[in-house]
Amino acid sequence: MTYTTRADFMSGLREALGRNNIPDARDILIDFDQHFDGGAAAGESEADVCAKLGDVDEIVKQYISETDGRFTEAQKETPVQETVITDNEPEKNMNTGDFAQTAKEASAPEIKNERSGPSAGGIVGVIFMDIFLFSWTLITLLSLIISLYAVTIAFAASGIAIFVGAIMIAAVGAAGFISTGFAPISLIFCGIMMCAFGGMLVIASIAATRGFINLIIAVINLNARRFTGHNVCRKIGRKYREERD
Amino acid sequence: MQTQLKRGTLELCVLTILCRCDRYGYELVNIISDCMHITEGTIYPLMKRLKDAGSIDSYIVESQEGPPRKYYRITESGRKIQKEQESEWRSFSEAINKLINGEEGSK
Repeated sequence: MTYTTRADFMSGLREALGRNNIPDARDILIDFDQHFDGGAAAGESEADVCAKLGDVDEIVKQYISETDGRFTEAQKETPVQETVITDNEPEKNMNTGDFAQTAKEASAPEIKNERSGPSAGGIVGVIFMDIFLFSWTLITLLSLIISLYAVTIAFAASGIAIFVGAIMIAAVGAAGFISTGFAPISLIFCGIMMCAFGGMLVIASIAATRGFINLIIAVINLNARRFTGHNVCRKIGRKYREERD
Repeated sequence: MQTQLKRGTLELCVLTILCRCDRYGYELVNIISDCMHITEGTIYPLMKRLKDAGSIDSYIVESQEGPPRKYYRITESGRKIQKEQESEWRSFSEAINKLINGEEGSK
């Protein structure tokens, strides 16, 4: 099937890829979406780009012949429909970053068009979700993250305290006031271990905070898109991020 | 030009272009379509195969003016394959040229 507009071509391609269970449909859609961007930047009309790209079914046939029937069962289980991130589930998108965002726009051009302007239904829907879903989810997550920080600090601080205590005991022992045996050495190891565990928790806390901030940004953007038609915040780490693989 | 003949050589074309510098999809497709008549949509399935095979690789570059662009670059194994295919192509096309020009056996 041949098309004359970008939106028709992209939805035709998405549909054909899904119908044939082509793996990595998201990446494929990004390629074609960016091809249209390139054409637009070069001053080509959508109809010209479509004509030069050719028949969508031929393109999909070529994907099938290029992969040479190498589709695995695992790949078949994730058809294109699942890779399209819908507007109703921003949490899913929380840590996938730049590429998922691009994919979302690439694979759902008509959704993008729909959300280009505020609509009363959309605004009511998003307010409803803010009150009954996002607020509670975010508050719960925030309290969990605060607890995580508390545990992290507790581990790091007690590790340091045990370490310092052990050294003091060793110093007292060395001065000959009391007999300490091997206690200071085992305490020092215990302190180091707790500090190391605290260190790992620091990394986990940072990752959790980052994910949480991205989730908040996703919620803010979801609201912003409903009210103003476009995103207002960028996610952390979006710039120059390399592709997943 | 025959489709089968073109398909066999397009891989060499893509690898050779990427050997010189990294390109984004639209740019790469246009370089090829400037040289020969192709259905542009058929380059992407080929690039996907090359990418799956590890001959090429892609990365995203944010752009000030427009949307982020997906660039393709050649990998080390891709470079190797390009060299092999290039020498194969040269000896093959030399042989065919000889045959067409009637130079076979006349040394």
